[in-house]
Amino acid sequence: MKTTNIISPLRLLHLFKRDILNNVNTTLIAFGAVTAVIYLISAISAYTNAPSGELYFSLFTNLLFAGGLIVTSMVFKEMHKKETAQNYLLLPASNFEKFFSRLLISTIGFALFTLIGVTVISYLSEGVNTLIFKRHNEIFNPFTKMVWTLMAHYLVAQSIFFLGAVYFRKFHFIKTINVIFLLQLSITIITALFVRIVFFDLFEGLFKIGDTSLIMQWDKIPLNTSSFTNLIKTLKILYWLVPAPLFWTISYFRIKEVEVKNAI
Amino acid sequence: MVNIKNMDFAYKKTKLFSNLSLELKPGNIYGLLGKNGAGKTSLLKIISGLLFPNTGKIEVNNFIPKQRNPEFLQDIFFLPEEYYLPGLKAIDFKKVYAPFYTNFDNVRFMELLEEFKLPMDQKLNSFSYGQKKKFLISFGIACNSRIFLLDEPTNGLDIPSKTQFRRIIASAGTENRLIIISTHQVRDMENLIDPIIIVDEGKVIFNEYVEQVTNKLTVKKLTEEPAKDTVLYLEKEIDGYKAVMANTDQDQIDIDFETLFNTVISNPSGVKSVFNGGTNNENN
Repeated sequence: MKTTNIISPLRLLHLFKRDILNNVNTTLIAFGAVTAVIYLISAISAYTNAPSGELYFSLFTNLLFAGGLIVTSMVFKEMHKKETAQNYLLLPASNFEKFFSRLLISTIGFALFTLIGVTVISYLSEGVNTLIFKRHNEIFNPFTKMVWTLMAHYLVAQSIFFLGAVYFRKFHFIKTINVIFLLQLSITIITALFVRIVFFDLFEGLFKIGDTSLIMQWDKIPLNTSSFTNLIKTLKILYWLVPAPLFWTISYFRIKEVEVKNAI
Repeated sequence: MVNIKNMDFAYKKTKLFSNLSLELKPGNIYGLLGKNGAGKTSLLKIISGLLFPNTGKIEVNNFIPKQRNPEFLQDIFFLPEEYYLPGLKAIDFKKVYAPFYTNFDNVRFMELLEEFKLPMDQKLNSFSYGQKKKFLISFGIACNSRIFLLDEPTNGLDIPSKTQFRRIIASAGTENRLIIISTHQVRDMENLIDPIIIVDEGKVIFNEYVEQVTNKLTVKKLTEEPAKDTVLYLEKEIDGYKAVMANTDQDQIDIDFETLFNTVISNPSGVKSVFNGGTNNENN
């Protein structure tokens, strides 16, 4: 297979252009609404004489996660809708390009758009607040470590919702949330049952441990030992390196298998 | 150009095609006919890579459609019966979508829009059903794809547009292009489609050029009902009977597509026998 059949920068550019033009109205309306809400919150904050240093950081966090995950969930809507699926699947671009363009839009694209948007809005809003109320909230600083760490966490969370967007044909966001909840619940139940069965002789009644000295006490856990530190390091590495690439890869293979009969 | 071998296809548990084989060559405008639910649209979707066969082999322009390779996709244009057009003006649609088709002919596109009298400054989603269809036909022809698939293309077109459609498709049928038209409106396709493919119960039961049909079959008007074993198909009319039979006298009478379709559907084995050299109207 020739490389140009997997990825061509020019075709990718055409895909971006198509996505932007097809969604320009929705994006502008959403951006306008978000700008208005942010300004309203910043104006109330400045007016009530309680200028906040964290205002824009918390707005950025909410926008990035709530907005980003909802946008990600809808990123393959065109592929699942009966009216549009055929158009999308027959568009002369490779499956990888279709996957990659939507991945870039919902990861780096959305994160940077939100970062720049919140920064610009914070400057404009606080300029207006200074003129009107003679005081202002702290301007949003996009160059802090916290902001960029948050963006990295967003990429991990995004990958789960990206898979949900590819996998589910309808109600992608809700269904992904439900799956996460059900998985968490299942793990909790399985763990509880496992402990109950393996350590059955320590229990009095259904889930009550008789000997209280056996209940885990955090202050007695040797957090400073090298084995514990190594465990935490390994878990962190796994967290940063495994889920996102894994879910994105599964998403790509799923896109390759989509047929028009799956559309609803 | 299109080569299907021993293909099986099913929707969940409903089997549609069983051991289907078909070879389609460029330079033809194939007419794909069949009853409702015979699988005409599904066959077009399989050829274009929108549906995947369960078993068997399918090659289109030396590509496997399932892979949806961009080179393959830019050489195939599928006009479905139901479609979506975005809220873009015709000119903007062209700017966005034409770059995906490397052989796009801008001049031809503008000529066709003009011929169909389609407004350039109106948003496509505000077009009527017929206008949308004419727009997509224009775009599809301008793409210069070697394979052009049309599903019920004349549905929703007014009478003058149907005439225009026939003329435009006939002029688009070049020797390296393969056009497949799936339709119920066989009368709209007279003098356009050749060869004719008829699918029924998951199989291709007829695949012949019109010339062969004229050579092998003839249609006669009879005032009295003939013996059933002398005809392939008999239709009662106001003033008598229309009978389709083997053309043993070498008549050169064109049989209309509707009658041909009814003949093949009602007596496939009899028709097959005639085309294989027999003259008896078997299995009537």
